[in-house]
Amino acid sequence: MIHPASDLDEVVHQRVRLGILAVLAEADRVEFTYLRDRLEVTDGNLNRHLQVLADAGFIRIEKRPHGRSRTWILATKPGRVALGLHLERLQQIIDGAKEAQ
Amino acid sequence: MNDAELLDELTAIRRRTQRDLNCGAWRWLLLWAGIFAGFVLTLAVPMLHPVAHWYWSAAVPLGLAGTVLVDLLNPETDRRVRRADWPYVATTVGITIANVAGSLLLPGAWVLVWIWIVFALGFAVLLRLEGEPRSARALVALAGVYGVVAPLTRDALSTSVVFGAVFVVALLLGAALGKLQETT
Repeated sequence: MIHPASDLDEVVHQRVRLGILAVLAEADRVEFTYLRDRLEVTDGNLNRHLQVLADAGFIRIEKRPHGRSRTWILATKPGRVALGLHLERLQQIIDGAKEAQ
Repeated sequence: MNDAELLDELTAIRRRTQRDLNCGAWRWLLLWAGIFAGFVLTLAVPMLHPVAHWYWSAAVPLGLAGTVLVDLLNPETDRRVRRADWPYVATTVGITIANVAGSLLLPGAWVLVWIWIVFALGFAVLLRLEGEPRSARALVALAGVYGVVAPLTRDALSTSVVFGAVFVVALLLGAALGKLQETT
């Protein structure tokens, strides 16, 4: 039997990256500074995680002029699916651990 | 941090984002409750009946402009997190089409009854979009009651006044509930 943990996507299974996808699961788009403030990370740290998610095709990063230039982050469909699957797997692991006790 | 704690943290992050997105939804509910109350008044007071004919041509643009203004002026709105606009536009267009179709297909004053069913369902969709599923379900139930009661009545105008008044009260309750949730 395959342990559900083996299905965990390493790109998604990181606290900040999961946080980014969780915010984007609720919103259409968020500004960079919103994510930074909500997830309590530094600009550099956030940038690094955003790049990982963007490289995996889970988010899109757009620069939009809005008074001043702002960086907006949008989830892609694969990103939303990846979060859903990941949360499902996590729940399976938790349920499995409870059953084992 | 174990998996259970991680899931809890993600749930908290999602709730916080929902709160930032929905902050101040009660304001536009209050605005539209006032607009609908105005229309009920034009139906209830015989002297104001002529106003009812052109009421919506003035109220819709003013109401939409007011909704945008309420959003822009809301000091609690965090403009760094946005939801898609198109579902709101589509719902508003849907409400308009359903009401126009009703006015073309329904006999006489019965369109005045039909509009409250359309408004109840339309506002249920809008409240669902605003992350208020309980209020949305309440409005769907209200539309269902309207649908059952309407064929049993004979006086379309009186029925419309009662339906409208109940709808206004429902919106006011929704606004009060929204405000209460925001402060707690």
